[in-house]
Amino acid sequence: MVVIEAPAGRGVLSLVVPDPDHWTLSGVDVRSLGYRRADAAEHARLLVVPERVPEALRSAVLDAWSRLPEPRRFLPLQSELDGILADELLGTVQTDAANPQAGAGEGSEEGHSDAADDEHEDMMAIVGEPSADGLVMESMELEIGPLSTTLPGGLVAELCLDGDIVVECALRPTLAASASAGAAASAGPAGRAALAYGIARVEEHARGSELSEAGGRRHIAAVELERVLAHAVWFRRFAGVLGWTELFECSQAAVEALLEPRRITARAQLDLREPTLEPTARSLDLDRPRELIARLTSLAGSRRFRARARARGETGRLELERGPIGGPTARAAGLARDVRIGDPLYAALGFEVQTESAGDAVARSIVRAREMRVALGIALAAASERGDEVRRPAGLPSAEVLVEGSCGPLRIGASSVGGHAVSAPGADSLLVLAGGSVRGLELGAALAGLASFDLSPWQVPG
Amino acid sequence: MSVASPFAIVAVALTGAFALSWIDRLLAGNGGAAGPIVRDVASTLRQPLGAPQVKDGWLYHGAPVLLVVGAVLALAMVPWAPGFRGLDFETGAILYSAALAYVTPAVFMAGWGAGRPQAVLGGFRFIALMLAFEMPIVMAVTAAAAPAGSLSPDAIVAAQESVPMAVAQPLAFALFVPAVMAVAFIPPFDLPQAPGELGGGAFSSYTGMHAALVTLAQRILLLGAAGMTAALFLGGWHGPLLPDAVWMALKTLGVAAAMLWAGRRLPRAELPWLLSAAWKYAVPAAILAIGWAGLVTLLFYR
Repeated sequence: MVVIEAPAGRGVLSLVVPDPDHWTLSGVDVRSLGYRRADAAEHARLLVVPERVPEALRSAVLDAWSRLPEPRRFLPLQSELDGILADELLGTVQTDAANPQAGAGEGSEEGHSDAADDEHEDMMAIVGEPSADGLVMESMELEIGPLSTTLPGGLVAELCLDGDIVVECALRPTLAASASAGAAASAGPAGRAALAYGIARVEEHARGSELSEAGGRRHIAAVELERVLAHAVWFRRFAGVLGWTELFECSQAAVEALLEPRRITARAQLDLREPTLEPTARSLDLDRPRELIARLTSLAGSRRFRARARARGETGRLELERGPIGGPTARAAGLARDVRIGDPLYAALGFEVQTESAGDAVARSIVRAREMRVALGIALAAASERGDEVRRPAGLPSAEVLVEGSCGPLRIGASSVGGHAVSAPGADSLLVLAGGSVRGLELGAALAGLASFDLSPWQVPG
Repeated sequence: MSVASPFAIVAVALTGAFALSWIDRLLAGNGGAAGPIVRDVASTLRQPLGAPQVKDGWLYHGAPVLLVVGAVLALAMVPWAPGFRGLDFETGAILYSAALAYVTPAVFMAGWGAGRPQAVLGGFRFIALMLAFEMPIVMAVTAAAAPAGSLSPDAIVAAQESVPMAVAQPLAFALFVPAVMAVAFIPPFDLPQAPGELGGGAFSSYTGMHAALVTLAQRILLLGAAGMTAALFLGGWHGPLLPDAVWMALKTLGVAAAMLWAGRRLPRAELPWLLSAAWKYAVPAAILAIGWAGLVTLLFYR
């Protein structure tokens, strides 16, 4: 979810639930509409919902709705909202999408009061294990919502604090993909192009052939553009956690510049599962994103950044070697784990694995910044030539393929009940690792450390 | 102090807060129009006064008021021109830091009154900040006052007719500026609210008039911090050609703009690092600054 504030003068503050197909701001620059970012549901007045709310987010939507202070309203992006959700949000009051001032939320105030009372009872009843100096430690649950906000619908961090030092931290993803949502939800918001690539390869293997070079190039272009965008969004939210306006604005500009190709794609009504990006890709203007990525890389390596993020969420190479964790976390600790290594097409497109050695938030940021630069180059190289459309026989047909998403590897295979089985190797281990890495840190430093891992709120099979 | 003084203080506070909001918008690249600021304030005030379930209603509702009172009291000590100030005390420079002390219970009241974990943490953070930075502020003020031989802000300004204290006492200046920024809890010292960490922290529950008062108080604190910096270290109203009050206003707004700009350029400071820097380095440095002030006074001001 993204929380955005009201446009000046319109008198409403907005909470946005992302459309499942667009995990940023749906390609719309809401700032141009006069909206700006806010911090918490308690400061919101208007809930903007897409036509289709993922099942896993419904409870989060209702939870967020209950926190909106009165008078509160919601605005469906489409003319009709899912009837069941509308009833739950509004009771019998109808809303008019064209008139966001119409309608008022009802219900759930009592529930909110009860919940608030419970929260206060928990707050004031200091119970727990004593610390080494005999004082009682406190437990609290912190919501690390999507984009590291304090919204529901994301991770929950169960913290045990000794004063303001984190003694224990356990992370729990709250979004569960239902069978009806399918594999798409399991990939989470950061892996849709990677998922499409993997599904295409699995389906080709089922036919006994490999994906053509042209098909591979098209998919790789989409995957790598998505990787750049995913990392830019991560930088934006990490900047929010760090409270660094300059980094936030730079990454916001990068996100907007990278969304432009998506808007071009959307206008051309291209289906990214079978992308035909050549005419669009050749006309892509990626100079601006390239400049901004260079700026982000510079900021990630700056003394200011290092002073703030050094040794936050530190992970050791040895503990990572023993487990299945991959992605930027492993690479930032010196492990060259990347599914793309050894892929001849990626090698031909100029792929180089990026690693650091410190294993902390700074290292993960530098790895992501470098990967953005490399990914952008790969996307352009992939889109610059068509490649041949010949589908060669599969050398070693396999029921599963591995694809490198922006957060780590995805394993895609055929499901016995139809559709596809998607899992993220190492995802569960990463949650445990991240929770353990912030022990002994002050709360603010711990939250920065957790944010540096780019953890998924989805309960993805590991 | 004349009967008109309270109104003058309030007028300066409101005008200055508006000017700082305008400067903040300029620095954010949102253009120089004043209309959006007025609309933002109006839309905030139109929101009903929230009545969330809080642990202590008296503390929760009283905190924004006390915050504004403390901020205005601090602003009242700033000398804007010869004979033009809110409150005229011979110890005005020290009373400035005493007025800031009202901010501490106000922020803590906001957090404790709300009763939510993040809010209480925000309140405790501010107490730790104030305890750490109050001494450097007082010592820096003392260092600036030594050459003037008086704690009256007017006298300190008068002593800077030829050389500003920022040049004569750079260490005291370097300690005073971040310390008052921390007390005004503006970025990169916005730990009590910490939007990305604590979701608004001590002030996360406030809406409507409460939120407006908190924002107003923060602007007034920044105005007071910048004004006192200009008065104690940048020569106050001294300057050629322009009237005294105009020079003072320009210097104040310049300092405030520099503080806001620094807040955008730097990530939020971490509490352990800040406290360590304050107790281990700032306080000893402040003692050195007083020693230096004595030396400078003996050599050049007597």
